Amino acid sequence: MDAVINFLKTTGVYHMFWDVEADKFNESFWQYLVMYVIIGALFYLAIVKKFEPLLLMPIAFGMLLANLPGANLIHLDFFFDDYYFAVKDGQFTGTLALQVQSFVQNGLGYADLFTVTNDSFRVNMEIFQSAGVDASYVQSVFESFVSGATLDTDGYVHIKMATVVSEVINNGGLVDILYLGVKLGVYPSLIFMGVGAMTDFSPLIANPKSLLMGAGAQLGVFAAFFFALFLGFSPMQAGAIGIIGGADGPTAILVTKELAPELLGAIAIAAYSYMALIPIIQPPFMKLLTTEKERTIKMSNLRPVSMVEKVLFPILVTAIVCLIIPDAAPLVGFLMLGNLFNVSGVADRLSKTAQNELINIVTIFLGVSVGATANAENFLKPQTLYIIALGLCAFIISTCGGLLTGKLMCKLTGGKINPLIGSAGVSAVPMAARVAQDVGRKYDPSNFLLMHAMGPNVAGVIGSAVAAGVFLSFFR
Amino acid sequence: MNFLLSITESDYGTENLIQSFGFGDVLTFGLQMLLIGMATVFSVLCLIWIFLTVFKFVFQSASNRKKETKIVAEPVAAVESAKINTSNDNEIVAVIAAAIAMAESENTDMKFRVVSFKRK
Repeated sequence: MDAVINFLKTTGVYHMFWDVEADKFNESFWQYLVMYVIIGALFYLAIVKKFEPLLLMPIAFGMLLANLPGANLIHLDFFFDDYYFAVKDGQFTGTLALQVQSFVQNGLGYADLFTVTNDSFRVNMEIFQSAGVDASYVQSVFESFVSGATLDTDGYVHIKMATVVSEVINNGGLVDILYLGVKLGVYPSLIFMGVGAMTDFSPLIANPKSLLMGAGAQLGVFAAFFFALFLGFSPMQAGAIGIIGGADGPTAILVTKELAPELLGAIAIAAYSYMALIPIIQPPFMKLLTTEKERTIKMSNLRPVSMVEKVLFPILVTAIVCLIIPDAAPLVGFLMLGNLFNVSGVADRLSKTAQNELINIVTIFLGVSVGATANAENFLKPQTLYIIALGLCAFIISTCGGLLTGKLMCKLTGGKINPLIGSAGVSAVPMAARVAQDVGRKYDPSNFLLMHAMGPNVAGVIGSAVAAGVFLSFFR
Repeated sequence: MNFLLSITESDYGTENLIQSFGFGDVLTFGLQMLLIGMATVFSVLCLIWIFLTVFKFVFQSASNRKKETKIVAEPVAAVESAKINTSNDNEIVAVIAAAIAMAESENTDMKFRVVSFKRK
């Protein structure tokens, strides 16, 4: 009988209703049920409605895995500093607590060189500076006591990535290992390489004016950042939320893992859901901001683009963007590398790998591990609702920014540009361009805007990567 | 970089600005970020635009030059090939006729054969 009881205690149902640590009824069991409803909705969108199924399905499944009590498939604690070192009620906690304690007692000798409050620890670097002691000396003493962490020049402790990797390898499971690819920023770059290999930049090269619409459509990114500050988000979190408006999943994930990893699940789900909902979100604003006459404007054919231009383009863009904003290099660099594989015509095998096998494999890893970060405890917070609302707001403002830039260009060119293609500047290749085409054809079935809309569309990819670089360079 | 009023780089981290600073400070900071961000995005993409416009002139004029030389070269080539055609017409007809006849001869009884070609 004991064996049966012990077995029942290992079940997920038992863990759901019974808090094993506190040995009492788990009052927050309803959170799991709410999560199952959300997961069900995402499966419905992905499988039945076919909204971004390649990403929403792995994300939803990752969420399911993370919300199976007792399964312990992901240990998010491993990826946060608090697991290794934190101060709680004035006491050091975490796996490196004893080492930091030893540094405090034996390293520099004097208690007044440190500030320990209820929830923080800091080395008073200014005292050393005024005494003429170099900050690097203090840092080296710290590292000799605490090998798994570093001390920044402001005197705060940061955990080394090597410590996290070592913890994951020693004590983590499959999903933890997959999540390392997100934490180290590997997946977004690899996905961008595949996107680059699949993207044809010819419409943009043929009509470089489209770049302006791609830039105008980043308005939502910074507007959402602005609003997020007023909803109580920190600048780092606001930057990660704002980038949802870039309508670019990998960019949003890269920025969020750097600036606000605790929001990764909510931001990734919001970004991919809204990208899938572009055909529903954009058309009302496209109609609102354009006149019927503007919507029926036919644009002249694009000039043919030579092979040399196609090859020079990725090299040139990488050089320009990365020299001005080096933080955008992981995205723009890999996007353009993938494109160069494709257009050069001499690396067919690499191009095919980047746009097929590699991107597919990475998409599975990324989707599952990002979904797994959305456990009930992290996800069911009021701030998730704020993120979803701000994400929608960012998408709408970005669409309007692109449309208004398109409208302005229409006026300046004497009606040669159909402003509808401005809405495609929100990135989300090629969905946004298709929406511009569909809306255009609704008003004139003989109007083909797709190729023209691809210009701002791919410009939006570059624009959102630049916007991401701006946030990273300011707040990282 | 120090932003206007009291928000500085050390507050960029995890600080809840709206709690720590006044509405006006956060408004100014948010608007400044919006302007700096949009200005950066526009200037980077404008720079690419300028380069692509230069591309257009360089490569279009190069391809135009190629076209011009082709247009000049084509009539000459056409005249030459026309000359060859007229001078060799009879020979070509004879060669083709002989080849067909030879091929057919494998299946049917051959009543004639080509002995020689003479230049006119």
